[in-house]
Amino acid sequence: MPLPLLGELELAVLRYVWANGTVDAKAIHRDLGAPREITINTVQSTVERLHRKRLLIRERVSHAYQYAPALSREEFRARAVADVAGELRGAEGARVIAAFVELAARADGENIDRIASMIELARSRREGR
Amino acid sequence: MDLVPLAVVVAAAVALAVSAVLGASSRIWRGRLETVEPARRVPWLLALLAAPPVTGGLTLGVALGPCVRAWALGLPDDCFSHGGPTYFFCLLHPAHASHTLWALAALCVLPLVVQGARVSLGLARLRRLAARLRMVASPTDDPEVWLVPGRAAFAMDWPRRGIYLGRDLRLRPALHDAILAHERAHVRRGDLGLRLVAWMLTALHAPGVGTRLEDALDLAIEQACDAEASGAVGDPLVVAEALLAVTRLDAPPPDKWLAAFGPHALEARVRALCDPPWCDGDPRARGRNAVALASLAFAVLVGLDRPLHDAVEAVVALLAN
Repeated sequence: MPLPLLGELELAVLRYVWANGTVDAKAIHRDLGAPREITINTVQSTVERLHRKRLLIRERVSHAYQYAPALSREEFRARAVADVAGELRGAEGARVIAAFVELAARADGENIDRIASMIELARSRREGR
Repeated sequence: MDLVPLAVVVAAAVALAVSAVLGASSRIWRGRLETVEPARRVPWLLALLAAPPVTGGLTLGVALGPCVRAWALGLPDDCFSHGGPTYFFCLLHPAHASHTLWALAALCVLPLVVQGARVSLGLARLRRLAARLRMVASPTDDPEVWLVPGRAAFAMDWPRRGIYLGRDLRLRPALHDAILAHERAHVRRGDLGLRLVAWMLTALHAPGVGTRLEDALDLAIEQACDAEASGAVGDPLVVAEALLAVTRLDAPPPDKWLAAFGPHALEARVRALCDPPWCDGDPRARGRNAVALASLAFAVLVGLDRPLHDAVEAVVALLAN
């Protein structure tokens, strides 16, 4: 199943949790929210969303929740990369990105060699001039 | 309201006929355009892609000409002398559209609706891709360039403008610069929007013709960016080498159809970089020819307004009775 899509603040919170281990919303607000002039309510709803998206796990300690990552940074990255690769193929099929060499346009060895010799020939012709 | 299905059917029939002519004459326009510089070839191909709907619309307008003229000048013709059981192609006395006509009109609009849905899906996919890229991309010194996993290099116009380079795209700096210059050219020229417009226009063509034109447009766009990149790095052969290097980074495809399609475009691009076949004539003469051709087409259409009007009325009578 592909990873859920994340907004910029959600990504920043996730990175913060990866870097700091188990944290509460107050700590996240102090280090991430305050510099961005974001209220603690916004931070709380962001961590809540991440929890609902199954990217953070939480445990109630006293009156507050403590949040920890549900996936390691490496696991998250591997899945995100796979998702990007899938989307890329589809997006190019749908002609919405411009790839330097079309992802669908691959050449076999023989053709590549022929094209390489074409370039070599052009270079030697130019140098011989 | 009853004029709407008729108008759609008339415009679609003309569009289909124009597209069929384009399909039948593809060898001629391909041969002629092959030697035109890519940056100038792009508008020509777009014009060919847009020709069916434009001609369809124009024909419709011209066919309504006698009726509009009579109405505007208060002439006792067309709009005022209609009567009896016959139906007329007229703004004031529109024919009552039969079910057949409505069904035909729906059939004409269907490809456009389907293509519209495909474009919308493509844009939704693009938005998703942009969000996913944000999750894995790292910024570079250039705010427009991002590093992403893998070996691809591509540009995006929307929802966020950017150039994405694969981290595993380990090439010598000159080749890297060529790729970057090529992608910058895409972004600067707004090629993605252009491609979407072209994609939409293919729905208004006869089967196969739109795709042929679109493929030719894709090649022209790529070659135009290759040419810009050649100018930026100062050597077209470096761009050709970059193309080859990026292609070599990937394994051959499992699908033979893809393999057959790919090298064609790649070979055409490399060939154009090694030995450009462009032969440009006098730009003023080209402009004069284009104006003359457009004027001639317009004059022919205007001159044909009465026969067109009558022909449409004959069809209306057939469809409505």
